[in-house]
Amino acid sequence: MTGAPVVARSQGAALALLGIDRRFGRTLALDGLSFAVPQGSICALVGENGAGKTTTLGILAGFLTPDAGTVDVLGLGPYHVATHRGRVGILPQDAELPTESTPAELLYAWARLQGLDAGAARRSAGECLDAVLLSDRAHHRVATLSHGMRRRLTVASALVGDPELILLDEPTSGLDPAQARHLREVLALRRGRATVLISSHNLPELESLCDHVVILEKGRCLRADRMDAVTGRDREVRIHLAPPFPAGRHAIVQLRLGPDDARDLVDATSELLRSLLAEGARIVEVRRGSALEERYFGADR
Amino acid sequence: MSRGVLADIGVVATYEVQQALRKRLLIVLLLGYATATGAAHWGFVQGLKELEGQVAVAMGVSRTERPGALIAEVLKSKDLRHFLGDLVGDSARLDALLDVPVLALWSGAVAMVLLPVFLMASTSTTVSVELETRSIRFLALRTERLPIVLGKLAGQLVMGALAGLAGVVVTELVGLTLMVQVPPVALATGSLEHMARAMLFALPYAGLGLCVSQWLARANVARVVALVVLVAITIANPVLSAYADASPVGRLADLTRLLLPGTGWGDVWQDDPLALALTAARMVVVTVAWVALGYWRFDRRDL
Repeated sequence: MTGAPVVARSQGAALALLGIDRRFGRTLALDGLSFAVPQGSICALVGENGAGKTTTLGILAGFLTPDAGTVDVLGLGPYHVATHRGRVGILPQDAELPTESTPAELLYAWARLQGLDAGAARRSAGECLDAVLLSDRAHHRVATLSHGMRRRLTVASALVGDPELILLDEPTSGLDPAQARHLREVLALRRGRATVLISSHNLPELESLCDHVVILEKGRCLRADRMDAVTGRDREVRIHLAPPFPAGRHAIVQLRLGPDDARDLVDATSELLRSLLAEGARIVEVRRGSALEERYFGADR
Repeated sequence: MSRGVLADIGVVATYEVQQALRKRLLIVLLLGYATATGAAHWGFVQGLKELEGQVAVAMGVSRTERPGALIAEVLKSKDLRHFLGDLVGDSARLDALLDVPVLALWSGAVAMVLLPVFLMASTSTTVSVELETRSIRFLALRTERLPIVLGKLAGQLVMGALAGLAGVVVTELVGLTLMVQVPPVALATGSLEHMARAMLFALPYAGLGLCVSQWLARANVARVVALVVLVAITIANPVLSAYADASPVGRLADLTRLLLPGTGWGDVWQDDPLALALTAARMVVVTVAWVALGYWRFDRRDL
């Protein structure tokens, strides 16, 4: 994945944005935003509040029209119901669920609108409720569900019909740790089968789940790359030592492979560890790369 | 319209009805409709009772506890029918009207006042509330915006028909408990028929309400605007009628009047199938025009 989008599915992008501008009154929400997300990946969309994450998802789902630029969703051009029906699922961040229906009724109706026949719609609704652990509440009114349950239902709405592209805006917001973990497992099962784009502020969670990341700042794409490349897991190792340190060594020994370094990171790490042990170093921790959070707040992101 | 679009309209309409039937507001509206119908009928029965009482006093016979017997007897008079036929100018139409229990005719008139109010109240928020809560996104991802609007219109018309049926039940109860000599089957069929005519009359109001709902993304604002518009067209209709003549201004007034809901009060009572079909076509065209005006905005807006 690169910062410059490739508006063609044949080149492996499930979605691509090129030079997208979008204003809300005098506020420029997106300013020439460009990035692409590879097919089958689970991609994090990160950025501070107002960076343009929700606007980006709104444009990808066809809820908002860009003022300028090109959008390509699943190689079929901008989102349009006629061409994309049933192929894209979304969890909109601030959309309230209709409170008077039951989860089973809502998912069934939405699955029918996605083009599924009655039997398939019922099956898909049931499977999605199972996936988000809401089967026991399938026939309760949404008004009686807790915040976390409603959140899980909106996630189920994005999964219904098994879409090829799933857009999730803050999917684990308001979930307890066990529910959030379960949801991560559910999404991880989609890897390779569907492309998932997740907007969230929970960077550790995104780091554990996603294989790609797009960092937005003030409506522009700051970086779009593989998660390993952003965190340095594919080219960096940090070794923490306990005192006393061998001569010429400090508390942290860092191994960083340059772009032209042909060595394998594991081999290079093993070699360095052997050398450190031979120097009498006491090793506390070996860590590949940095946390996404460190990179996000660091100057070298 | 393709089969897929029709299927989507059906799904959205079912979704709309499911939602509405569980909302307290709808239950309040239905109860309000039934209560208003009951109150109007009670007033009618009291008026009839007073009238029959005065006739009984004039004839020197005893007053009846429940009204209905006297008017039923009076309307059987051939001389009176002949006289009224001359007045109406169409004895066949008069016969058709007089064969319907008078309470059923009254219930039709009441429905023509109440159903427009009910439909304006319910349709004016049906889209705007989903725009306000953004729950429209769940639908808009999955189907075009036109089936959403038409499905919601269909769902609200089902609600209107339910309100009308509640009125029919109230009419039947009033006829059986507060009046005498009212044939129950004729009252039920007469009330149903006139409820259907009232629905036809109220159709453009549903279109206007849906237009307001598509323009305004705040449910409470849409509700207030719909109420103001309802009052405004109620005032505008007779004013425009008074100005309608052959002059250019009069023609404009007449054309404007035709585009507003509320015209055709007398036309929906016609028995001639062709005339009634033309009236129905006009009502549908006006309804579609208002829905389309709202859709012009809805189709272009961010969700």
